[in-house]
Amino acid sequence: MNTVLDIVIWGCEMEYAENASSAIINKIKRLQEVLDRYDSKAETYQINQKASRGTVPVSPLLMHFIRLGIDYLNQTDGYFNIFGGKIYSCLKENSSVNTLQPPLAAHTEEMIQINGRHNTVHFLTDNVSLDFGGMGKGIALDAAAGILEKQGIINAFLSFGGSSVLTRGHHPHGDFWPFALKSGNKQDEVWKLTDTAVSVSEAKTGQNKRPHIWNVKEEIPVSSDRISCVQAQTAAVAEVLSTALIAAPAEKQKSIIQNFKVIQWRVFDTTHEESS
Amino acid sequence: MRFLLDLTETKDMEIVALCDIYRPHLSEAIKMCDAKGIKVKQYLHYEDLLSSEKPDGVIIATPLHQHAHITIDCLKAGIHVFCEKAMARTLDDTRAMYDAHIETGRILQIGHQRLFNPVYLEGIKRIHDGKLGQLGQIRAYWHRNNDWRRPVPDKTEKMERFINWRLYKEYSAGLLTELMSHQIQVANWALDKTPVSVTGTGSIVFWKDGREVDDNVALIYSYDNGVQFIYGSMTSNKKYGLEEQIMGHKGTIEFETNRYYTETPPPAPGILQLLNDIESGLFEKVNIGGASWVPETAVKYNGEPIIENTDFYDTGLQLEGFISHVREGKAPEKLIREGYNASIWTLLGEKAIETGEKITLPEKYQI
Repeated sequence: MNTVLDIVIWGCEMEYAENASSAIINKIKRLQEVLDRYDSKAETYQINQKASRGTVPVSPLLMHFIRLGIDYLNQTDGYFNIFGGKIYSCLKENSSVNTLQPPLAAHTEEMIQINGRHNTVHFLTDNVSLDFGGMGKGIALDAAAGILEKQGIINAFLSFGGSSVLTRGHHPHGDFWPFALKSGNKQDEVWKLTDTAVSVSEAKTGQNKRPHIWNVKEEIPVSSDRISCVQAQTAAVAEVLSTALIAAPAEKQKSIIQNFKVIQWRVFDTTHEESS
Repeated sequence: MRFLLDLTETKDMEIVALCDIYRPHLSEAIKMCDAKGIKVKQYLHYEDLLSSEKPDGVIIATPLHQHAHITIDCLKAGIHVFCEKAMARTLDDTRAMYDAHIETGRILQIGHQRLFNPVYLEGIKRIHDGKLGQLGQIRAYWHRNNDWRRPVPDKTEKMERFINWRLYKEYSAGLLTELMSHQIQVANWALDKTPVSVTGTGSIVFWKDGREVDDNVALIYSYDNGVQFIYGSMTSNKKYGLEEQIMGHKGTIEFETNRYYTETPPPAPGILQLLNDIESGLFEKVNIGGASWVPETAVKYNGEPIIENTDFYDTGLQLEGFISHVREGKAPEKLIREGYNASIWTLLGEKAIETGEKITLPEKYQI
């Protein structure tokens, strides 16, 4: 997942905590072997190399995540899109996508052809490229939640680099896990997390504060100082929405949220809150 | 020489005489002294110097094969000695130098400047304090891409061997005595042990220019606790440069680049606070949320510096140390033992390469 995973577990024997942590890490490694678009041994990388040239078989697991990504694309009115890997890479490197890449098609059917019976895919344009970066950490944390439950771990706080957090149970000295943002003007606002997930996205990232999220509809990078924070039952939904809410204009945000089960959400810039 | 001249300005120390059998080098050194307004006597032969001068200490920086007899004569004349590493060209000469130090009670400090380097001092302390856990392997290398030659003023074989003494076995063991001796000293120091055996191989792969010493060596030293010191040096590729990597189950130290790497990278600041709160019985908000979802390039853990301030020259520090030792009339015995063991095991490494056998330490060289 190209970031740091911190796991805090309390209320059980050290041995159980270590076993659970090992199982989570192993699970994430296996997911990464499927979802990584940068590792040449990963399935997503290989599919991205071949699927524009013709029909290629995919594993049932990758097919599941592609379909999940399409569901999220539809539910977010296209503001979350797993098919824009090439655009995201260009954006990351030079922030001037328009000159380098043609726009993505508006509808899934124009981007990818899926044969569910034979588990094959075919990218319909050259600029389609799978990128699970906007949901991979959420998928991993939801898988971790299953492992924690299976192993009887009741209290846990898992953080993927601070941007995707999953909690189980509560803090040993309180009734919830007291989550807060680390930057911006909302640092004093405490989000009470128990058995939920939260995800944070920022429109600009890195030391140079470079835009990294693509507004599919307007075909421009999101260059505001917007921050989104979403609390949901599953980490994947929280992560997908935190991205989509950065990409979508303010008037679209509530209609997108209505398509999901969300506990609470915020989108704000560095000076004032926009919507909630 | 430059460091020594600088020390005359800050330390209560005086350079009284210079000696070099090669007149151009002697003249150059005299010029450097003149530029600083320092008047010194000059000698071509060290015997003449010893019969005329009574210095408190002497610095010997001759070709390797000249170290032993000059050092022993100086020690017997009651002079404290700083001698460049490695100690001597042969095992017997190395032992004789050590014995002369013991018999005369004079200081014999060998030029292993890393023993005075604050990066190494802090790093070794952490290793000995167990911060790296159980050491498994120490790897070191010193790679260059040049012919390792110095310009020869005329084309005679005599002058070639005189100037480029490092390339001829009569005078030097090449990469082993001139480079590896520094790094096996670090390995011994880190482990606080000396090896029990060494195997090795060497060859002239690239510089087939008449030199006798290998331009390519690889050795494995074993210690009694099972740890290995794995060494390589070559002179036809410089990509990996110079390093000593001390690897334990909790962390790694890379001395030359002043880096410490823990095996478990530190948690994010928010997580650290959460852990501290839990241990302290506090229930405070955890400011951790941030960052973004874009597929980042792999998060590279770049370790951390062993020490922050590296504005020093260890070559100068070791000379400063020698001056202090001379003034006190004694030096920590650890210094000569480090130098001796590094030199002995360097030469045993040469023997391992020459014989193709696994070499252990003959009893007569144990101290």
